[in-house]
Amino acid sequence: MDRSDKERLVSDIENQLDDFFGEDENVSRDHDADGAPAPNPLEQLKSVVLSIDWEITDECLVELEQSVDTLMDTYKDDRYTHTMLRMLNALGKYIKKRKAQAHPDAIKRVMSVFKNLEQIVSTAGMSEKRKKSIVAAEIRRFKELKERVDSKRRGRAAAAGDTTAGQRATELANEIGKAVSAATASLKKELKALRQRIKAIEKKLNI
Amino acid sequence: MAVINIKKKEVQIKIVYVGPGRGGKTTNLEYIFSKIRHRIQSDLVSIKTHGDRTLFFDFLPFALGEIKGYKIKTQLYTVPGQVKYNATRKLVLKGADGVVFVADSMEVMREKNVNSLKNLEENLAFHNIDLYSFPVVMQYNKRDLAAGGIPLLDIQTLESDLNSRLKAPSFPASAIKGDNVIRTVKKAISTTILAVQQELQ
Ligand SMILES: Nc1nc2c(ncn2[C@@H]2O[C@H](COP(=O)(O)OP(=O)(O)OP(=O)(O)O)[C@@H](O)[C@H]2O)c(=O)[nH]1
Ligand SMILES: [Mg+2]
Repeated sequence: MDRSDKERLVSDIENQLDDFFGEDENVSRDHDADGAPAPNPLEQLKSVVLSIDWEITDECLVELEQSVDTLMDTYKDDRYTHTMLRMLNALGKYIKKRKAQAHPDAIKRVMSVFKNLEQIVSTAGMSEKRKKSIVAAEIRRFKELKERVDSKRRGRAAAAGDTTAGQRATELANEIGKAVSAATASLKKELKALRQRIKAIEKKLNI
Repeated sequence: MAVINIKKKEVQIKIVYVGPGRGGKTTNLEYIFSKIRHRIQSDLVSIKTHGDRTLFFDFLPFALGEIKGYKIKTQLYTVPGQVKYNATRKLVLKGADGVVFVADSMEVMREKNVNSLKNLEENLAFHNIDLYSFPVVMQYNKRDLAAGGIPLLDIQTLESDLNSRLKAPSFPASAIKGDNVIRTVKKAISTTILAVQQELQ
């Protein structure tokens, strides 16, 4: 393909893409260049919360505890903000303790409490009434979660009484798990051997 | 390799969105789909876990139209970014004609970006493809977070971490707002078609 052919092809492609996607698109605005954003007192907490959303590690849970601690001190005279922070604190402690067994909604609550906390802190002149209703809604959902967690715990305690059935189920699950991974391992081995054979044949056939 | 049907005058290209978990690959496809859904017949297919993470892949096929008398059919895929799903990633990359690497601009993601690129290189090598001579477009996503005071890697750092050897076309973007999402996919498609065409020569 000579140069002009290539140029023609490129312009054909570009025209087709413009037709298909449309030309009116957002261009990038690099916010780095927009000057310094207003200082955000929740900045550190926000980045911790975002990393938790992404992956829950002990490290970020410890960080969560620390930044909430600091903020609780800062906002000790602001009852609504302080209540939100206390909820975050409790959620963080619970997740850290229960790890993977933590109720999946606990993370959702962390996100939601943080989002509303941020709104309360960053909205200048928000009325006390509005703050109160936001906080009340979060408290309600927090309590709902707590009830679900408690009833799960009670369920577990009851099940623990019935040892034979519970144990048998666990044993069975372990058994199945082992069998499945053994089967997968041997399957993988077979596949590998098969692949090598195919490669050898391909080589022979020169394809 | 692109599927080319000379008789039907049809070329099918496969572009895969890769990058670290939670980087915004699925969000890219969702935005693209929202922009073109009125003009395509196909649907965006997503297979997710309850936490919204991609479990297998997302898949968005569409007919782009004709170029030089050939009907171009495009398939966009995403792979799951989570480290543990490497077998799936390898599988989805099979037969890819081009990739978009969606990097997460957050400072805390610096290492994950680099590891993910390394993983891409290995997975492509598994399919006998050399990353450095393959159509790649780089996207530095989540630039919007700077406005919320989240520490981001600057573009220069991202370029030197990820693109110094590759020298792929690159775009800062915000998939959630749609900034540069279409530009990224356009570039990926054109780069890929050109590479496929060159291979045919
Ligand atoms: N602020 C911001 N958030 C984003 C952007 N792009 C994606 N997100 C968010 O990041 C999270 C992960 O996005 P996904 O698109 O699901 O990420 P992914 O790369 O598909 O993740 P995996 O499927 O796990 O590999 C979601 O909560 C998105 O809303 C962006 O440009 N800016
Ligand atoms: Mg995804």
